[in-house]
Amino acid sequence: MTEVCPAPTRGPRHVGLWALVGLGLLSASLLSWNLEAITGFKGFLDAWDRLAAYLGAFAAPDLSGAMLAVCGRLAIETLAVAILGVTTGFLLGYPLALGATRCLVLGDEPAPRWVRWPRGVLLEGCRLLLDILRGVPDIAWAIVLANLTGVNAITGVLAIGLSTAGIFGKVLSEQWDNLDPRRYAALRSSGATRAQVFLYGVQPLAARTTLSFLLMRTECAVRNASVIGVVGGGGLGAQLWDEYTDGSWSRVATVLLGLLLVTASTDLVSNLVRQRLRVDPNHPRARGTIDRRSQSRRRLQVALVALVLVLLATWSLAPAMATAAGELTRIDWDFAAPYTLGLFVPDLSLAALGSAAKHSVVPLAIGFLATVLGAALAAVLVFPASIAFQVEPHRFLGENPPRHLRLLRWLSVLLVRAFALVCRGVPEVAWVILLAVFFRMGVTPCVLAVAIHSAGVLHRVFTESLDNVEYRRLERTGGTCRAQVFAYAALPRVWPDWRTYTFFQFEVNVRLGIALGVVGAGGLGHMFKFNLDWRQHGAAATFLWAMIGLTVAIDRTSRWLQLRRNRC
Amino acid sequence: MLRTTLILAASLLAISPAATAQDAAPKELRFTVIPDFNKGKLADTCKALGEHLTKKLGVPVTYVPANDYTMAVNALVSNKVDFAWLGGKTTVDALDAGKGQTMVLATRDIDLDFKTYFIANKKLVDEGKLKKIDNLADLKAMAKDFTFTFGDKNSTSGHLMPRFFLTAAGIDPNKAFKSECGYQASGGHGATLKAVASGATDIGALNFTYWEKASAEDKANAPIIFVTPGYVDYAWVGHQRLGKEMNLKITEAFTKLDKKNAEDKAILDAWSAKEKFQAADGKLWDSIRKVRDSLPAGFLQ
Repeated sequence: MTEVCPAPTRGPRHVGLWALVGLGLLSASLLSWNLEAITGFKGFLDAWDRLAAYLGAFAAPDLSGAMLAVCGRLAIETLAVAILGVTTGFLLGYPLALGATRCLVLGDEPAPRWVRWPRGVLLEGCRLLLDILRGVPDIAWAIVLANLTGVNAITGVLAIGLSTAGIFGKVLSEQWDNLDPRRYAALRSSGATRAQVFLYGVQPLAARTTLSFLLMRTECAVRNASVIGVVGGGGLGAQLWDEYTDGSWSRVATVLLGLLLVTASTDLVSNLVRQRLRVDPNHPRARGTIDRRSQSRRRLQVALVALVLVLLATWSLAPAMATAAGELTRIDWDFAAPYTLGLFVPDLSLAALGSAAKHSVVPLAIGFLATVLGAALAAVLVFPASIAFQVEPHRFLGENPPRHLRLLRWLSVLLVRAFALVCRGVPEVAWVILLAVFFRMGVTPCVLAVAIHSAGVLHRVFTESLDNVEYRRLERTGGTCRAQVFAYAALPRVWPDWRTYTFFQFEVNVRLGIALGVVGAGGLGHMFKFNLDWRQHGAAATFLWAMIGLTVAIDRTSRWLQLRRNRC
Repeated sequence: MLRTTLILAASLLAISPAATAQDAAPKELRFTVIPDFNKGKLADTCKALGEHLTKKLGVPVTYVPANDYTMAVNALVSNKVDFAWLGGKTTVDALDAGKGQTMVLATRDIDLDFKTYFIANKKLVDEGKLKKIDNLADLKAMAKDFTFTFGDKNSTSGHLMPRFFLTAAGIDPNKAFKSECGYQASGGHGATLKAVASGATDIGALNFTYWEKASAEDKANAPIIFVTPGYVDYAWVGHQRLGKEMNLKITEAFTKLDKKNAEDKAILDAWSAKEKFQAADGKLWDSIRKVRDSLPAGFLQ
């Protein structure tokens, strides 16, 4: 009689799963779906007609010289906006991150109350400022800023810069505060001041994740810059929307191809940079030992390229800067006050607050459903795209597959990765436009657009975290086939990372849900713009603060759930 | 000390641009228009107008694009442009936000009797599901079967007036249709026409001049089912900063446009004027203000 080892209790995970399903159903029931394209035969035929007309034109993009010249110019503008946006965001976000870092501002050495109290105010003040910068989506920033700096690329730079600063500041300060204090205990015990601890301990220890996050935000900024034109920020976005509303599908196709080219090449270049900066000797594909000299040489190379890019971007946007400066100096602030300063003063009547709460549901539900769908799709696609499991399983399994099978596996990696690249390379707004042809504008295309886009983004980080697992960890399981090693050795190891990424994506997606409201999903973004258009500045302010409130609520929940994002 | 500060402040005020604008003739004039149509095409039309006005006024006149209607109003009241082509509602908005310093410079002959067309997708009309009606109330019973889109949220002919007429006919556009009424986030009336013609939306409401000027194909795919009664719409709105003399010159530049002159005719046609522009009193737009303020605020909450 052999005693079977009791199965580990799975209670908590079941609770989580059911909560997820329940929340998903609740979200789905709260949205007003437009599904006639797939629920009725006639609706489907009509939708298919619309799609066919579109696909016909899409197969023959307008490649005339004039159109290509316009797209080329706008593509360069898009890149320049992204580069300067991230630079602005970093320069603005870094000092705020310093102010929002507990171990730097407060420390834990005893200090009299009159010293600690103002420091606490500084800490909370910086955190609040970061929440505001981050909570307002860049599209909403652009809507507000375009009234001051005009319709040009600088509006896009500022909008992306402000929201990036918020994200940077928050993530950097969290990375610093989440470091294990034991790692810089030696510094502290030798009497280093808080500034010295930060400079010689905290900052260098987190430098790698900081850099990695900077790269990731640059990619995001390129995607955001390609749609910020919809609300006046320059780049390809304005052209895309203009051609879409005009029904010129062949030109929509040209602009979309241009967009894809810009985002996909950024994606690939950033991969290259990551590889050049990879210094982890434990990484499965580390380049042997890395000596100090080659390491600093590579860093110098990357820094130089970055500097040149920033200078080029500045140079190409110099005319836009002059325009924006001219716009700013003309403003008669007496008249501009209601739609600038007025947005700080929300209407706190019960009706306005109730309305803000009611409309917060839409972005929350969109964000939740899209994240769950996107994460599920990304998770399914990780295995066929993993270098470790498709290309190099012999390094931990010892199997020796025949040549044609190896080829097939390579193909699977490339195809799935290319698919994910397209998913994230086409910006959400462009997905909405594509899907709206079939489903008609409404909630459905918006949810699916965000889901597809998140699937692409999550797929990248999911696969990366899987492929970063050291092979010796996989060897020990002694599994017989790849699937088993994946399920029982790799998955448990990357699961916490995946969960963290997914939660962060949820926060991003809620903001996307807000932003898409402006173009047709309804909810907070729609109501904000509507009230702004009808010059109800108090009510518009209420919706603006509701956006910030949502972000803060999600952020505090993620802290409460102790989801940490030490790695990016 | 206080006195010196005051004197300093006063002298600073004296040399501020707002104060000097009235004395010396401005070196450059800037105007904007509400983006009620495809922005690329709008830019071409405005460039041509700018060139014409430069000749007539003797100072360079440039077009400054606005990304949405609100931006055009804000640009005018906050001195970023000197005059602006606004819709009925945005004219009223600019008159209100201008604290008494903004005024109507000119309007088209058609703006005193402007109309909204309700259009429907051709398929639905061919199938007999929708037909031309004389009274919006006839739409009430079947509204539940169709989707509906307004134009820009700030448009008079694309949103304010059709909403007003629908509400008067007992149809709540937010609730009566198959789904909540849509709006065109960008692209104005052109977008509405395309949305209905392509079948993306069943019914739409738009500025009648844009429908009349549209291609035969679009018109055939989106036939008219209802024409609203007339109301007051678009106007060129100016600001006192420019001084009486200059504003008068701008009004004249518009009212003197003559269909007999080829260059003038091109501008009048591009602007859809029937015969001419004419001077008008801002009081005429009081009726639009009344409509704007009479709408139940439900759709803003």
